[in-house]
Amino acid sequence: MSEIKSKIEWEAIIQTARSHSISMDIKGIDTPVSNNITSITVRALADNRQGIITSNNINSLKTSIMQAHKLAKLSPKISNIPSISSIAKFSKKEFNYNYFNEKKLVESTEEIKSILDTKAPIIEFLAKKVKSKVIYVNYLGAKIELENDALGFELAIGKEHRLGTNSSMLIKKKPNLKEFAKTALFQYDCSKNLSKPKSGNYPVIFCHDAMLNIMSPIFFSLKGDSVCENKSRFINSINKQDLSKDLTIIDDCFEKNNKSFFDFEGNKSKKTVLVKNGIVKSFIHDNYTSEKLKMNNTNNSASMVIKPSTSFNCISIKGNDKLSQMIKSVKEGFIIYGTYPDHTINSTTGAFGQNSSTFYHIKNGEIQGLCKGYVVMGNSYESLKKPLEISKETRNDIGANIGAIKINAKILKN
Amino acid sequence: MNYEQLLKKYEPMCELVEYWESKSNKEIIVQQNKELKSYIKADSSGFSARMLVNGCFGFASSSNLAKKEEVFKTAFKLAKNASLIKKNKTIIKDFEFHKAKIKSEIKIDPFNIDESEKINFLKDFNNSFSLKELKNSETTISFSKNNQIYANSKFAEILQGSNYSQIFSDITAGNENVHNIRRAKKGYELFNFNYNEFVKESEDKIKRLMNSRLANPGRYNIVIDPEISGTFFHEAVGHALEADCVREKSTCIGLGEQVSTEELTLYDNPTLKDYWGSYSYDAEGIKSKQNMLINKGKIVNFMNDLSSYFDVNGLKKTSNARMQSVHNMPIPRMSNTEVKSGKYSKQELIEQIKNGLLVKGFSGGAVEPITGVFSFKADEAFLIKNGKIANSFKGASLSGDLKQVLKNITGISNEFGSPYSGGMCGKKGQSVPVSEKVPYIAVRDINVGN
Repeated sequence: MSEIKSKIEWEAIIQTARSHSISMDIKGIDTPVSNNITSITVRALADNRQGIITSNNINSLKTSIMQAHKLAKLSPKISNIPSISSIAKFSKKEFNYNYFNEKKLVESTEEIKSILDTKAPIIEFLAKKVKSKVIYVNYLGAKIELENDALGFELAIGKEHRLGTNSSMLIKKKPNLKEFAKTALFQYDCSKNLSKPKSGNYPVIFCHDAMLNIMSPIFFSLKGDSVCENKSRFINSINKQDLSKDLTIIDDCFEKNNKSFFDFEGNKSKKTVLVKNGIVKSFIHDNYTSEKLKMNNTNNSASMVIKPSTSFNCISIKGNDKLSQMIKSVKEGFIIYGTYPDHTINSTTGAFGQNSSTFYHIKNGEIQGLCKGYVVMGNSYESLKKPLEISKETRNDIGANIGAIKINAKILKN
Repeated sequence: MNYEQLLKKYEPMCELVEYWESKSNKEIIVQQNKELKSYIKADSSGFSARMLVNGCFGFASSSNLAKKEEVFKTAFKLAKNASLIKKNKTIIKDFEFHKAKIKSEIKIDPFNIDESEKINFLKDFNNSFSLKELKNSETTISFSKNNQIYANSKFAEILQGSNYSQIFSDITAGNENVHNIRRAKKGYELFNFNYNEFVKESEDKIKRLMNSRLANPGRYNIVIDPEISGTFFHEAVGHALEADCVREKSTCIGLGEQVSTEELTLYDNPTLKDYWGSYSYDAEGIKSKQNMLINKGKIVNFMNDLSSYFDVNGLKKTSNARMQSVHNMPIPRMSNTEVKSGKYSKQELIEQIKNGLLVKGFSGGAVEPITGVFSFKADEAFLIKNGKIANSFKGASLSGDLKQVLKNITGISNEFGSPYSGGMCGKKGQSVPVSEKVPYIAVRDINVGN
């Protein structure tokens, strides 16, 4: 690739992913799958214009550059054209799961089966290993090569109204299937009894995935893209107290289970404090949004699939409260482990109305049972202005290191 | 070796050998306010092989078309190794496969249109939003063409071409955001329409939302528009009627069960012309047909792919094997969800309600097939007072229990929504285009949040 030198301003990302997976359902092992996928994305500039080409054919880098340049020349001029400036040279290989071969994937299905044994029927278990390679190159001679491997597990157990789920993607941590299954089993066990509390306003603890969903309007408003598109609630909020003093949000590329070293524009990943004690400090940016808004680039360029856009490296939210204490202190309320992805949350207005299969009633500090057919409603922007309890224990997944958050919300019974 | 030779090579060692190949092109152009934000051209290709060896499948894929022999070898190895440990073997059932060559039926090929013409169309379209309060208007047009091959060791060879086009607009005013979509299995001719109406619809809606308050949460008798009823039948009913859920024992409804009133007859229909979720042959070479799933309120079949058809007893074969790309395994998926026309007009359904809501515009939703718990979000709701439409509200979330809601259907209309709708449906990490041909539905006593 280094032989491609021309007067054209261009940058390219070449991604390769090799994966092996095996799944199991109630009848036993299902189809094992092997994938080997490569793609290339090239962006070329020409006189304040840009063109983007993506392809599966990595041998066509030269052709893709010419095509992207041709497309750029055809396109109208853009103000704040994102520049190509990286001159980084960096290479890193980190394979932590060489020992986890295809045989080990099969063994993991056996292990899960023996852990669950007669405790709960398996709906589906999936074990996956991915080896990925990302190369960034540009016309200035920058070359960044990153290679790593990752392990992924997904589990769903249950029957009738009882359900327990968990999923995890690891890049450094040693897999512990016993611990992994425990989370799903805990939810399944909590579902043994059905509880039917009345509708009303209650304290609600949102854990992990449910917390991510409920906070998605905040994350949306912290993206430079949303600010440029005038959709962010925090357009005029820099250095203002627009959220609860208890809330600090950091985009932390140095978190343990994170794999971001460079972004899609060849810029070195940074740790960015987005919200400190409720005061909005920064948005996440790529070259385009930082130039347009005249703010510092946070190096969060992440995709050019539909249009160039930003994404978080690893959202980190840590609190001071113990989760067990958060539950104990609830006289009557709810704990929710997972809600459906942000389908029923409006990021612009912050309104949410969600139900879940892992929605439990708490009374006098103890989980009573599953609440079937209940909806939790509220507004993320409003709820997160008020005093909050946030757990100090967090689950460190790829992309997020968070635990649980307690807010007041409206509960509606079916 | 080409795929025909490889199919022959592995045939004696397998119960079934299958091959998929895909080549596609796509263009995505985004205009934000007065500026072209990006113009992306994409091409992709790839192939995969699946083999059934001693009652066990193995699947392998690659984006490098030169690696066919390696991929066939991997699929065989995976199937063979898995067959050594799998206890419940898949037993193949006999049926007839076909050979066919299907050409894409479009009038104007978007890839033959000059780039500047497409850019100018997009610019003119986006400039036609004129609402004073607008803070942002962004429009995306995209078109794709795909050429796919499916072949197997049982005679099938389907060469299928298809084109998809869409326009997606997203506007923001105040704290509100409205999007509008026109999409179909068509060429550039999809864009030959009077878009002033399309623009007006979006602007009127955002004006209403800016001036409305949230609906009071509670239980209501409601009329749902085709967009929401389409989502309801897709999310809450359709997913529970996919046969992999039966195999996994993760569906709350069963064959022969009376789940609704006699007025309800439901199909999955991939043959609807131009609909976003249509196709001529499914991903496993089965010719598309209208598949009846609920007949007069009773479950009569589940949508299946080969694997679930082989594993689950009592099913009639349907054409519902779908894959996001050649790198994903085919799984049973919906295409276009179709509800048989009812006997009421939309007006008659509204007139039956004393105090309730007309709920419109879908913005998302999901269901757990094992529990039947669903929730989805409507863009807006209109109060119905004594059979007449009164004031509007912004947003409403509908939730409940699938079986309960099906039993609470009180009327089905004979008026359907636009054929140029539809969306992308996600399941098991795969996203495929789906659509609905569903009328207005009246349901009593449903949980409405805000």
